[in-house]
Amino acid sequence: MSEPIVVTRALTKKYGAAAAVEDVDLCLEKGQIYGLVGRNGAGKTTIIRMLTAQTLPTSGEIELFGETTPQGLSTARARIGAMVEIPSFYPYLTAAENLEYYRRQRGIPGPGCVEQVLEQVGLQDAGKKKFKQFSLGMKQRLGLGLALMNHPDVLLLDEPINGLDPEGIVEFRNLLLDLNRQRETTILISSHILSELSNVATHFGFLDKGHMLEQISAQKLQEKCRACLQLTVDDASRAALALEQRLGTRDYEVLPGNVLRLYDFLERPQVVAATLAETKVALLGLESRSANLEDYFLSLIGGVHHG
Amino acid sequence: MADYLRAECYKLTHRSYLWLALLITGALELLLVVLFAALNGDITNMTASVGFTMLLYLLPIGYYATAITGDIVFSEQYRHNTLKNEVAYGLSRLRIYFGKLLTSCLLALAACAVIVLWYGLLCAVLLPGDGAMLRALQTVGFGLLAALPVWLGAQSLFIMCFFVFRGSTAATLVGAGILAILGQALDFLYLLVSFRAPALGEIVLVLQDLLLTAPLEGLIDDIGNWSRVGWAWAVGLGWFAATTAIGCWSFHKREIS
Repeated sequence: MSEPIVVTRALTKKYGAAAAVEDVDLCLEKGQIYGLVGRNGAGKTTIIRMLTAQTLPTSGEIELFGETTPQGLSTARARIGAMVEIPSFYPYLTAAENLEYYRRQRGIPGPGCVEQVLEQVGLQDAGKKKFKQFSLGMKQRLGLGLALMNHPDVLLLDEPINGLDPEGIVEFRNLLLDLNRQRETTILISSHILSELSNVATHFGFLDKGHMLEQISAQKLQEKCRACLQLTVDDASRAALALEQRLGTRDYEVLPGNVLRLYDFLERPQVVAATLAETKVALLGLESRSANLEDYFLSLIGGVHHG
Repeated sequence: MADYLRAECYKLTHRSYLWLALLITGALELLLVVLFAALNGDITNMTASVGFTMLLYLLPIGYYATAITGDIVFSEQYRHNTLKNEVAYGLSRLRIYFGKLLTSCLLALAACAVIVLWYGLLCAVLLPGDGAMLRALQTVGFGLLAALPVWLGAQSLFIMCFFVFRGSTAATLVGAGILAILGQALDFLYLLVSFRAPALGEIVLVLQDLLLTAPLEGLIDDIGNWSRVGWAWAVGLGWFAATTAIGCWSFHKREIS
């Protein structure tokens, strides 16, 4: 079984009567890339802010590397690299000076590590440019640089690709994948750009209005989002028999309400319809379906809203 | 903590604010001593020792100078939102608070040394000597012994204000207000109550003695009185402890956003 590294139990943050995050149970295991998905105000940033001690939970528990005491959490946080909201640095210092300041503060040995990190995030040519003159993309890169400086076991990244150009996004994605594969860095990443998340995440957590709706692995999600023909019939068992005996496929599932999802014959729905007609199964509906992360998330939220 | 202090020193030496503040102070000192030298003639005779002793009149400025050293060190953390980088790494809030406080005290002491030495050098070079410089050094040294603790108390007060208030302007105004107005307010209160309630008036007098500004009032006429130095240390350390406790308590659960 994988080692849980970041765990929250019934984590709640309230501002007055309003709950920004309520009873969130989250479990991030070693080596995972966990995509936190949610709309604005869903509670993604608040969760990351609680994990990084920027705000204190109203109730609930945080466990980092098995530590739950305040002292233990402080020690554990030194193994975490975080980038929360817009990266913030001293405006009158350069990229190298800012990183050097934090290197000294954190007692990270070797001044060479600053150059190394700057190169890693593509800021080696920033030179004497002060942070206040940086573009948003450069600020994001520097924020990522700071998060990487202590060679963290866990990276907590809140909207990290905001402001990055397309080339920067690809570089960033590759960097995360490299860190995950080569150093087994565990990554929690929140982003509005779901297509980008789906490119890297191995697990997903869907948040809405401060509640965790679902946690699911990318593999399971892929299965759920697989392209299919959705058949609504009058008798599901006879339809299933026809699919197996006449069409020779078992790649389907039966859902409640006489609905079948057929993952075969996607390009030939007319063959399926004809077969069902031959076996006297009434075909009440036939729909070609496929979903991506965005569709799945929207259906999840819709389900909650209407359900 | 040593790492934290090293980092803070690195940051403040890379800030032009510090060097500019020292440059301006040095230039003002030069202007003052040049003015003394220029006015020397039949009516006035400002010698090096007398000019150096004039430093005692400038000691109250030290209270307000701590607003600048505090600001240089605190570096508008709330405006730049840089505290999140420190707490996210697991640095305890106590370490952050004491790190800033100690750095600002060290900076204030170093700046004080530079400013006093520069002023002494200017007096020695630009004003005529009278053979009494050693005595002047003793006098100014005594004044500094009384001033240092209350300056440190003021430094702690301003650091507390910087942590409590989000804007540095507001923090500076509140800190300066406490230093400047509290004494006036207690004077006024004494006038109001001393006739009708003498006992209350006595309490107000005691409170006046506990103000940070009190030990330096009338210091020039009290050189050599060591009980004043003791009083200054008691008041300075008392303010240091009280403002640090309030600042730490306030910062302990503060939202960093």
